Amino acid sequence: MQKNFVVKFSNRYILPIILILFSCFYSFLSYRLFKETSHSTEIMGPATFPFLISIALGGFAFLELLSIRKANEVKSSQVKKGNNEVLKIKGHKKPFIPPKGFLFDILVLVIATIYVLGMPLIGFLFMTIFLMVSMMFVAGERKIFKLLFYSIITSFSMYYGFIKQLYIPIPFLPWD
Amino acid sequence: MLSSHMEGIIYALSQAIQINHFLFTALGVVIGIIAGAIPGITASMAIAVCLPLTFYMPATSAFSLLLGIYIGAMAGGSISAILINIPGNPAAIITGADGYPMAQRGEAGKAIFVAFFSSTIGSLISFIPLFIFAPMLARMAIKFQAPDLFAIILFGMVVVCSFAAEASPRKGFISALMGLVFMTIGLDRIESTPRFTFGTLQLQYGVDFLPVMIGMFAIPQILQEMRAALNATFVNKFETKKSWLPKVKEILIILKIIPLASLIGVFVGITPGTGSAVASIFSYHFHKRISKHPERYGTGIVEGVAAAEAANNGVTGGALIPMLTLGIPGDPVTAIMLGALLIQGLEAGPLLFRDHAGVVFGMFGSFLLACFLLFAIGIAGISVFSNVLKIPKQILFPIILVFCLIGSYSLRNSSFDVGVMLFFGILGYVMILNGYPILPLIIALILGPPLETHLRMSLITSGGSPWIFFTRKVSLIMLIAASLIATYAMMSSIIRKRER
Repeated sequence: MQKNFVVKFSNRYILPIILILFSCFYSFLSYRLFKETSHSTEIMGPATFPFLISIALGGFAFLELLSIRKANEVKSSQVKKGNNEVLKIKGHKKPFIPPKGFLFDILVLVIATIYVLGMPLIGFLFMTIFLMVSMMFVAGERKIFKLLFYSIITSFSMYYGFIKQLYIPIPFLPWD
Repeated sequence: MLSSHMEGIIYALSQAIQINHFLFTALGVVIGIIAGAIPGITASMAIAVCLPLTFYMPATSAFSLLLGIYIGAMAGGSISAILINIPGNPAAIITGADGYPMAQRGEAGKAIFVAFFSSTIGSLISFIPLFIFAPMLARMAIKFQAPDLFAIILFGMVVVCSFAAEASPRKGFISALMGLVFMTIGLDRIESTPRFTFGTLQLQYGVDFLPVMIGMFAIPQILQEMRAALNATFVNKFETKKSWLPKVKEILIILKIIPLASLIGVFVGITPGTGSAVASIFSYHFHKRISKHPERYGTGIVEGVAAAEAANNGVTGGALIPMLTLGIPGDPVTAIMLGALLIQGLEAGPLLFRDHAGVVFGMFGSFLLACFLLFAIGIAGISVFSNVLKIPKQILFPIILVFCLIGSYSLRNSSFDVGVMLFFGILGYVMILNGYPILPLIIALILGPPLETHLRMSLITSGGSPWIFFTRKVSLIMLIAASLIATYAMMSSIIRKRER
């Protein structure tokens, strides 16, 4: 129980650490921009505001990291005392662990990415049918008639609404 | 600028009764009620998904549609709260406390009638301060200069950051700072210097807020709802054995409750970073406390439904006041509205009232019309709207996803924007998982450019001296207020943690 808790809890460091690294990278870019725009006659050039943001972001991310560490220490001491019930009742922030169905979310995002990449090549019609069928399938719909019916109806409705009525130049078929 | 309120109301009404505005408002109300009724589709998500449709509309028609959705969704959330005890959106979080027991007694029709009646009156009452105070505030705000505007925007952002994340204001500030980071991508507004574009042409135009809003509001919600669809089905229990109409005595009781509940909504709406859920919960508990029979709340009484619903619709007019006059959105819906103004080439703030008074009063007209249509459409279509709960989520949410993808594409007819939408969708998903609020990021993305511009303009004026912010009354008051609020939020968060 204790080991499991500590493993889960340590994952909460990931995001603040990423944010600190990102703010360092961003301040480096701001500094580079500052050198590039040193000819600027303005008192506060285009690089100063990003530089201030990078410092503030790094500072807040560091504070967040410290607060997690402090909370971790308190909770660990409570675990050591065997006071697990307190943890359950009073709770702690949600750790960064994949929730139930995390793979499902990844799958949906992969399907959406395939749609974005595939639409310019294969066209709106077939990609929308693909997206609808696969999304409905992963969401639990198994009847082939429903899968095809709703996909085709949606694709043609969107075609009528966006391409015919709003004149959005989406490639409808692969040869468009 | 239209000189008097009388001229304004005549103009507003003349705009509202134009057939195209009327139809767009009615369409908006229908979409809003349906979206509100479906658990998982919030008002902000519905407006974000419909926003690309407004590219091709004149400004007044666009806002007729969006305001219709806003007002419709606030009331629509009560349908599922009453019928299945699941609020359609956060605004209806407490409506089910009395609405659901009423539905179980076979009084679902009466509960929905009271909800829509209270919502309509709540919106109408919130229209009064919007109509009276917004132009007055705009006239005052027109005298503000760059340091004042910088301080006001900063104040708005600090308030939103402080209260957006319940557990930790620090996370709200981190979210806003991330929004400011993304805002700096593209051409600098004063010198047109490319910043952080990495030589990419698309990035020179900057990160547009539309794909960001669609991605952050819709994608995490779609994922969550589709996952829930794997093992959940709704059962629609719309049965009404008794009359839909409340008794005269009940109408008199709710008419006593609605004005105060609506005013609570207006005040909560004006305060940035609060939202309709806060208004309805506060109003419900306030009325329960002052009631002679508090024990009856929660057992299925019309007062409970009216107190919650009048307050959440009262927020609508209140939230529009700071958004229109100062350009400070207080909640996700007004943040999207602010984006919709920018899409139309308009910038919210005092100049909007002077230079585009027609659009503003046209919006007021649409708002007023939406209030009346809400009641008419809501009551006429109770049984129809209750059927939307039968739509399987595994069909509905893929359709919404296609809408999001095509909507982002239609911005510049480019797959790049669709990629941006997906990127921010994933970012929003990760942020929500870790307890980071997404609203400050979006508000920072919208308010970041004027914030930076006013800061730099102020420093140019003062020759680089930051004292300019402390020598002007408005900017000084706003900066002190922002510091106090940020300190209060941080301290109370620390005290809460220690108490735990």
